[in-house]
Amino acid sequence: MANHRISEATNHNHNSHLPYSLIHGLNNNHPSGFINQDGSSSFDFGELEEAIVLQGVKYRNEEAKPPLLGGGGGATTLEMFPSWPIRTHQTLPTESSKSGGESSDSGSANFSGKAESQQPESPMSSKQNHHHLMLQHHHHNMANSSSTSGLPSTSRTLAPPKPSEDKRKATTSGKQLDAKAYVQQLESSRIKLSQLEQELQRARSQGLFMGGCGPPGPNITSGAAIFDMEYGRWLEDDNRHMSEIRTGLQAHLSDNDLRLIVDGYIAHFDEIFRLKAVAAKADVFHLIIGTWMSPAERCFIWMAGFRPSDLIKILVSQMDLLTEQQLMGIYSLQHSSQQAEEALSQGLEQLQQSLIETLAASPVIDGMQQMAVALGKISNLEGFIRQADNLRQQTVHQLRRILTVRQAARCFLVIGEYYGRLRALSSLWLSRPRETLMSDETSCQTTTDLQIVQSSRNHFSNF
Amino acid sequence: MQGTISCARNYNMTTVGESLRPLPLKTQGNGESVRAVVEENAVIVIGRRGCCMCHVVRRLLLGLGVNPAVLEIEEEKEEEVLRELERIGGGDTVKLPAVYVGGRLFGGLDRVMATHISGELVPILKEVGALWL
Repeated sequence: MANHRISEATNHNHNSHLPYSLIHGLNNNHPSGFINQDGSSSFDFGELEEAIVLQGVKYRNEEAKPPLLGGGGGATTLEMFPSWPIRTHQTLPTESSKSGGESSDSGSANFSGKAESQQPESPMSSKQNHHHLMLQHHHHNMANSSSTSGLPSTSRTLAPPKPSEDKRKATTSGKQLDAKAYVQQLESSRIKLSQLEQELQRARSQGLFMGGCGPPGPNITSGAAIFDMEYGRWLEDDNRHMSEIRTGLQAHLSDNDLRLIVDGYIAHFDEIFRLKAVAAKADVFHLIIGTWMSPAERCFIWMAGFRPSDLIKILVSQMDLLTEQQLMGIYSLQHSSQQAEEALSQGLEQLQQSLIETLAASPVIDGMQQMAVALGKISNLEGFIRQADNLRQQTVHQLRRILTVRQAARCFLVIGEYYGRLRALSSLWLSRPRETLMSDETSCQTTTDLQIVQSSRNHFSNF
Repeated sequence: MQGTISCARNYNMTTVGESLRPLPLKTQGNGESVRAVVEENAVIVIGRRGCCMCHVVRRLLLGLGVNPAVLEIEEEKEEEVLRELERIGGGDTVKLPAVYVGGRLFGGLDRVMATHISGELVPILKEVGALWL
């Protein structure tokens, strides 16, 4: 039902009376702003929504009575939509006596009906009236109802609306179409909103945004927040690439097609390193501390990311299909990445040593100079993270060079799924039942864990 | 200075020993000494004193069996040395730490890492005689 849709569209569970016409009129003319006394109708939708809510409340709270300032006021606003057919308007009195009613068609219809009972006006002036009525209604509500919000009230008063008539057929189809379009727009926005909320919920539960450690601290920098958000998006992209590779392998695509997919995945990797380079400039500590990672990943963090040599360890199971030369290449890659990691780690140790020497000593000249020197040393951290990411990037590229397209696709799939499972492991761990922690027996935990695993199968990719 | 340099050369014949730290070369900062130092060493790492990245490069090369010469530049001399290095290199800007292999600019830590991973570094080092097998 149209009215039902309206109330859904506005996301107000308790507002059953939001009329089509109201929204239509609003959208029809001006998106925002206040209505001026001279009648230019710009609207503040936010205020309107609140006023509408209040109006709905008022309807519920009041006894059936002839259209008053408040109730009729609302009706008057709907006047702007003389095209809207009235359902029944006599049921309004009964409607308003309901308490906490959900969306009800007749109620909304009556609302419209009442509105349309006024003399025909142009949408503009109707909106103007509406606005004033809403504000006035709100003004009344402030005194009457308990659910008041901080809407400013105007001093302008309006004459009480006349009793509603129950005619009103559609006059112009144009208005109807506009209304429909607007409502559709509202609905799609609502759907988008709920989708975003779901995504956020899902991401939160997977510990992606907050790293599973709760909301970010009060000192999160904007660079960090931006990176967190972009990393979330990158993870979603990652899932998409994973399924692309998976279906590509299963479908036995040609090497050329697979090459495109694999190269796309490499570009996807390059993207995260680029993002991290930007974030390292903005907030290197945020990257190093790694709240953007899931807890299990963070546990094994090395220089703000994964260990490049880990990639090879992950691939060990896939090694049986390699030629002699490829095997040599893989082991040599593992060796050189380990050497490079070692060199970087030692460099970082030296940095820490140097920082200790700077800060632990009593300041020779003055504290500020000591701090300045220390700041200079800290600034090296960005370079380390950059070099570590460079190492990761080079390792991925080298992997691609050693392997054939199909092998590379399989390997990237394995790697991607490994990290996906590691992240899933994090959320499983975080959501494990705490009661069983009391007991020493691991067995009683097992059943519940199994249940969790069963129910979380969707965390794991399917082959 | 001659002795120091030839010592650096001799180091290449020994196995990697962490204890055998190369003596950091001092430069007067004038063009000639920098040029000489660059040309006379198969591998030389030039960096600011106390630079951690320098340390990383050195560690990496040591891990390969190369004992590179190291030139640590004082802050005051940095300008001059950079200018001289750019003259040697034909005008391209030089960023520290810089690695010179076979008398020519090889690159910074970026390039060393990349060539190390891709496996190109060792053959290059062997070519200039910094590595024997």
